[in-house]
Amino acid sequence: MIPASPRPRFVLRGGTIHDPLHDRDGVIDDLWIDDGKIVPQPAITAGFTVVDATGLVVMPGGVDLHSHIAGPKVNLGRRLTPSPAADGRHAVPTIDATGCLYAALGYTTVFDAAIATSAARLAHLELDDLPILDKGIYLLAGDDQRVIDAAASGDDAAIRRLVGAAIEAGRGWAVKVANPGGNLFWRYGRRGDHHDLDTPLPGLALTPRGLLDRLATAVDALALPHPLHIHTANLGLPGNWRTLDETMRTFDGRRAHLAHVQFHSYTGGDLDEGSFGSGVEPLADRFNAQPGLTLDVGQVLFGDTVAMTGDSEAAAHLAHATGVPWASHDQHLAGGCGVMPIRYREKSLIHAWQWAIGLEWYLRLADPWRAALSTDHPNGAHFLAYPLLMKLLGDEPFRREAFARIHPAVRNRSPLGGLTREYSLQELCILTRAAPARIAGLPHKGHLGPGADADVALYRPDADLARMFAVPARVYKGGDLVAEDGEIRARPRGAVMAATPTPA
Amino acid sequence: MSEQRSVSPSTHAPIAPAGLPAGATVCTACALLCDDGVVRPAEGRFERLCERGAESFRRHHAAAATRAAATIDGRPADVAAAIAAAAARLSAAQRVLVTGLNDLTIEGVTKACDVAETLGAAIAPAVDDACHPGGPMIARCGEITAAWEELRDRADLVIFWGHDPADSHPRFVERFVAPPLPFPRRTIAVGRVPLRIPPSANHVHLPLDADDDDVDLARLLLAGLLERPAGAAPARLSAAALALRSAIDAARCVGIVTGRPDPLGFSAWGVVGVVRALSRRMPAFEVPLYSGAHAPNAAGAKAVLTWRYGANASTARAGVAGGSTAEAIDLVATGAVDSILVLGRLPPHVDEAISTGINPRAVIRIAPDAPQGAHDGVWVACRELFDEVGTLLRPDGRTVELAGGTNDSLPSAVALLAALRERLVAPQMPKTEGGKA
Repeated sequence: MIPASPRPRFVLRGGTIHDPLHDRDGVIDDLWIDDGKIVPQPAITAGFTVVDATGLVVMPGGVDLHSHIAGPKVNLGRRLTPSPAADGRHAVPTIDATGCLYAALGYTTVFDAAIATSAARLAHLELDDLPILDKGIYLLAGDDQRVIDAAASGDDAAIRRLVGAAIEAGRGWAVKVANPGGNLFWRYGRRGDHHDLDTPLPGLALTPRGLLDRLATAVDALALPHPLHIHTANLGLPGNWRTLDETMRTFDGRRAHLAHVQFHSYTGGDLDEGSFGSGVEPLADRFNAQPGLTLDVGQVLFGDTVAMTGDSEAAAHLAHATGVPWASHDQHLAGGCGVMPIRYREKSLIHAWQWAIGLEWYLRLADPWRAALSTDHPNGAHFLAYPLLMKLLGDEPFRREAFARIHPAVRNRSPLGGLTREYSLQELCILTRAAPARIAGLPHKGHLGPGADADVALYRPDADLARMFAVPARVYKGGDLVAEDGEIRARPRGAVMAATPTPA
Repeated sequence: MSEQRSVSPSTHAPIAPAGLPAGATVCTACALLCDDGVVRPAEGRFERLCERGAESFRRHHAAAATRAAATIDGRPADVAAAIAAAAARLSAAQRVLVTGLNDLTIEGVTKACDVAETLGAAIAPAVDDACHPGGPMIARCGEITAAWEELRDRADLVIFWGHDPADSHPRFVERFVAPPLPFPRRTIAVGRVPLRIPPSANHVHLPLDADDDDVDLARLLLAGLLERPAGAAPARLSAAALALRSAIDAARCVGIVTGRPDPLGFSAWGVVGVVRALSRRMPAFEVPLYSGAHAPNAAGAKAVLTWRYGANASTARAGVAGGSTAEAIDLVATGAVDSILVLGRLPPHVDEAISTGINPRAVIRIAPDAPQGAHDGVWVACRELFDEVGTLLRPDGRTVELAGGTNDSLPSAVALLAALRERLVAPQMPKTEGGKA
């Protein structure tokens, strides 16, 4: 056993600090770091190395609360797309590259947002090979037939017990539900019946809405750090904005997290491309009015990527519609998944709508503290595209130029063209660090106050936000310098974050 | 469509040792990883095991008392000396291949990757990938699969597509096709020869003149399902396609069992097309049964190599840059390596290639069995896979936990690989045995 080396003690001197939790917005200050934590300025500073941060923007390490980085479907994605995309990067990087690329981007914490309970052990074995980042998984505990049966019989105690046991056994951080009860419709050969949240699940006195309600109750009763993480029904289908609206109504006055809302915000119906459009405005109004709700967007950006989901129904629909090679496993059952390559194109009507709808969501958010920047990696785009997304949000002229290139029908009909909001650096810091840390339930992350993990990213200020955020000057993880100008300098083992259910 | 039987929730629970009855163990004689057998050697009880499985337990228990711990160039040695010799020979080699892997736990495979990366070695499992379509084909045509329990619990039509599992996965039919459904189950075998044992009372064999005829049969069947012109075809194949179509039309859920050697992937391509067309109408999936014998954890090895290297092998150099699919046997046959670290048992043809293609002194083995006959090289005995503690992966994606057996007198492969790696990274690591230049 190699003894642990002493943790570094140093001060980042004179950086321009963005720490939204502590209302520090571009304040020039020092940041003291000792034993992997941020500390108050000590009375005795001897022994602290001085690291000059003058002129650099200092932010907490990024937190990605909704990504797909490990587990069987991610490995399926690697096998399905073994070659690099046109831009030279793998749509689904190896687990080692995932850690290094995230770290080099200034991210230090990541969650895989959909792991079947039966695959939890395998996912953890894979995550053991993920370097640098702290990591966790959300378990699809609501897919378990025993949980569904308990929900149908109204046995909340049994749901709590089963969900708590799944979280403990699978070392999960949160509970994710993907298309609530959707696989039951498939299992019973009624895949087309799953139109709304109020159609009873086959053979059960339980609706998808009821399942969501009881799962969220169990998650809250177990005091899990993150609320129920909801991928609601009808992902990707025209007219599905109503389903998301109904999902939000279900949680009026309560907490819940809505995943990749972009994929659930479409108007139109009957697969009519002409009526396809944005349902964001009424949805954003409702979201803004319900303070218990949080969301991630699942932004689509143009280029090659891989779609992967535990919502087998959505995957099959997309596969049949596109005809691309489709890999699926157990598509009718809990733990099923579907994976396929996809190329998002500016001139595709549907893809252009998806791009515009995602951006519209960000720009209509009244409170960035309730949202996390995401592309639902790799579904909407690779996480390496985050800097581009930040530029689209923070640079209105750049966004306008991009808007001018997309499908003309979308240019004519999308409200995006009329939205001129620009995210400030502080707001981008909220979206990528402070808010996802708070939403995920990580009090020691996403800020730079004493007691926080010394996960810190230093950027060179640049009017080109994509360039600025693509290559941090330095990234620290737990006080260790892990990346410098895009090069990995150290590969500490990150921690696996597992929740401890504490039933009331 | 009428309602289907629900699948038991237990289908999706990991197969945990805690759930095994007393005396039961996981059989690692093939990739089925049967967990319902009873093994009580002292009482001579070997129940619910195939011949191969029972023999593996019998042989192990008979040999346990007389087994050596290690040898160096055929002479008995202690484990530490053998590990030191292994490290020295591997370090002195120009290009090492790490292979075997298929009867290690997942934890063992990750340790093997660590060793390969330390050595800058190539790493590839010793599975005959030329016999099945493997990685490149999935990227071209996809793959629609399901757990074996889904086949057992739902498929009222099981089509054996040119493959009889009796050899590769001996108890597959008994465990996953023979159990009754609440409604009749039909089985059809398509192939040159009939199945050795008919898997159901309602079984039909549709004979083909040649193995490759199944490619045309898939084309005809797909055309029928999509209601497209089929083009010309021999009458016998057209009749077979019609018979399949008729059975499919009467079915609620279709499982297609594949696994015949298919180096070009045409058969796989055809089957995926059929399954994809079927899946628009009803639950339908393929159950691929490759790499059964000699490769109980081939799926686990492939999974680890894929998340480490993005492919099921890393041939240029094991490391974070990623890898490519390749055959261990090709690296040996082409002289691309001058030393080999063999982990676990090898298929006979790979073993033979190594014995003729590599200097015997440069062959390092960590395996339960000593090499046959007089031999040079280094061998260190490790536990049988079924005596290990760790995780295995069935080819259908289900994890299987090993809780350790009764025989822990031999070290685990994981511990030996950790010791080997420690030796390799030691700063005073000599380039030759005994530190002589």
